[in-house]
Amino acid sequence: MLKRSRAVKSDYCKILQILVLAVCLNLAASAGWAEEPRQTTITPQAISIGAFYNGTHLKAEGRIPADSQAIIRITGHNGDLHLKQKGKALGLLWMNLNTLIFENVPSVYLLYLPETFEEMLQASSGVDSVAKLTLASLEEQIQISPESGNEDQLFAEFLKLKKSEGLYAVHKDSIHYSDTNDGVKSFEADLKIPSRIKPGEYTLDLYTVKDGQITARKSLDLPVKLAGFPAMLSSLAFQHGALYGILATLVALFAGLLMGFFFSGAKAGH
Amino acid sequence: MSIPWHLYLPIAGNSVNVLLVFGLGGIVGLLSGIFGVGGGFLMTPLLIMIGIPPTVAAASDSNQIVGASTSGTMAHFRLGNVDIKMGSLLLVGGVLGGAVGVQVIKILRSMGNANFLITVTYVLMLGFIGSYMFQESLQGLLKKNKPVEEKASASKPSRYGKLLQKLPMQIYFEKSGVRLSLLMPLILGVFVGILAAIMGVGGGFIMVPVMVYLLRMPMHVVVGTSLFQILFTCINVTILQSYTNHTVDFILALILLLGSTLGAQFGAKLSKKLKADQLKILLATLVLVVMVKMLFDLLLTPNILLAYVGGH
Repeated sequence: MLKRSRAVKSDYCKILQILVLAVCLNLAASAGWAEEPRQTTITPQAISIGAFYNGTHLKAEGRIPADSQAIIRITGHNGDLHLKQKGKALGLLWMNLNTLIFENVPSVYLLYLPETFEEMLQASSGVDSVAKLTLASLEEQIQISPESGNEDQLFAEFLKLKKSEGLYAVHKDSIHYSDTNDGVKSFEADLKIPSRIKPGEYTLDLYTVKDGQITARKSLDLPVKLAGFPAMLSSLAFQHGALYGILATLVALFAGLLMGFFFSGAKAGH
Repeated sequence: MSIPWHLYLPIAGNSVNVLLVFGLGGIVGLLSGIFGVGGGFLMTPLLIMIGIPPTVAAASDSNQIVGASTSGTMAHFRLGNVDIKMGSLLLVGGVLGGAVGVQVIKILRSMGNANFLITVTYVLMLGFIGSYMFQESLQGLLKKNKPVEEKASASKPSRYGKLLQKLPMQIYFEKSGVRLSLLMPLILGVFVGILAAIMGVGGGFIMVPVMVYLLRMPMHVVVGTSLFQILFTCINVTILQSYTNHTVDFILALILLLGSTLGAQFGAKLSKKLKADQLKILLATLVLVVMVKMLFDLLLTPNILLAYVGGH
């Protein structure tokens, strides 16, 4: 009886071990990469848009394997973008003509690279290649409708438009390394955030890259919020539009009258 | 510690250099005070150039024009240059014309060629008005021995002058010193209102030549009366845009109007020192410069062949 009970226990233990192993293997497989970068911190952890906001800088710090490189990417939510295509009317005058819909477009795409990125890119290949992080790789993700057979040129113009706003950008040589110990090195990154970034939820991804292949990824949430006077004004404008319009008109009228009286007084003084 | 020269605009979704925006407001306000135009046809493209979305630029500009034209109207009112009777009739016509113009634009959009027609109308109108004013005021300046232009034109009995006298409901406009049918400012107000709505502007640069050449008002009264009419048009636009499209950026408008109210005061004083023909030739030059710039935009290949919906 006792022997049989021990045998059953042993069977359970084996089954449990196999289950644990399977779960671990499954987790590793679902993660796709070997190991997350360690001890990653972002300072500050959220972006506050106050009255004097004119873009900002975040500081990212962490540790990665000594034989690897770090790449940071900040992205916004994907959505559809309606754009006007410029063309020649009557074969002479440049005008906004067709409306094009760009689907699955990230609102923001900022890439922060180490100095050695070009070498990484040359060594890369396969599904985990760093090439899939570049701005050019977005062409596979973004669909343009209606189809015209001219998608490559339209995508190039789309990138120009987004880059001109600073919302799509590649910041080279913005990640630096120090303190290599026990096969691990520290990195520090200066992340420039554009002034046109809109309030919302963004994702910061830290990639570990070895021989041009992505070996690990860690994602952090990066909220961007309006604060102080801009928050108050935005809330008034979008939730009480008529009141906002009347107040804006009254303040403008008052300012105009005040300047009128001021100048009138100044004239009287002479 | 450095002074923060940048301010964040929550509706435009961008930050701007305060001094730059103040300077733009000052320059456009100066022109507004001199010529009696709202300046929308100049300010909106300038704001787009510094990174403000087109819809926000146009709506916020209307808000700042409220302040600038209040200040300018007051300055001109003190100088006795505002014909309230004429301005009110033009305003009523303008509001009616604006409503018609909005419907015309809807029909044009459904036909698919609205943008093309708007831009071509813009260039043709600017070209026609600018060239005519330039030529006419140049002739006036060259005839130095003759007395003031307004008296000279009144002494010529033209076909148009005879037609004006035959129209019914004649009333006397004291400030302008003209006797006209009440229908004239109303009909011309409707005409300018339609064009202004189609072109998406306040209409000051069309209204001024209409007052000078078709209503035969003296130039200095034209400037004050135009500002008076623009003030009410822009109050209407600011409230409507805030309510329906949420595109009025009050911070942007406030900085602009601080600059423009200052500029408008200097402009009004400067306008008093200039002769009617000098004023007209300067405005004609300004209108022609804008027209040439728009023509170049139409003819030269743009840097980026895509634009956001709602842009020019």
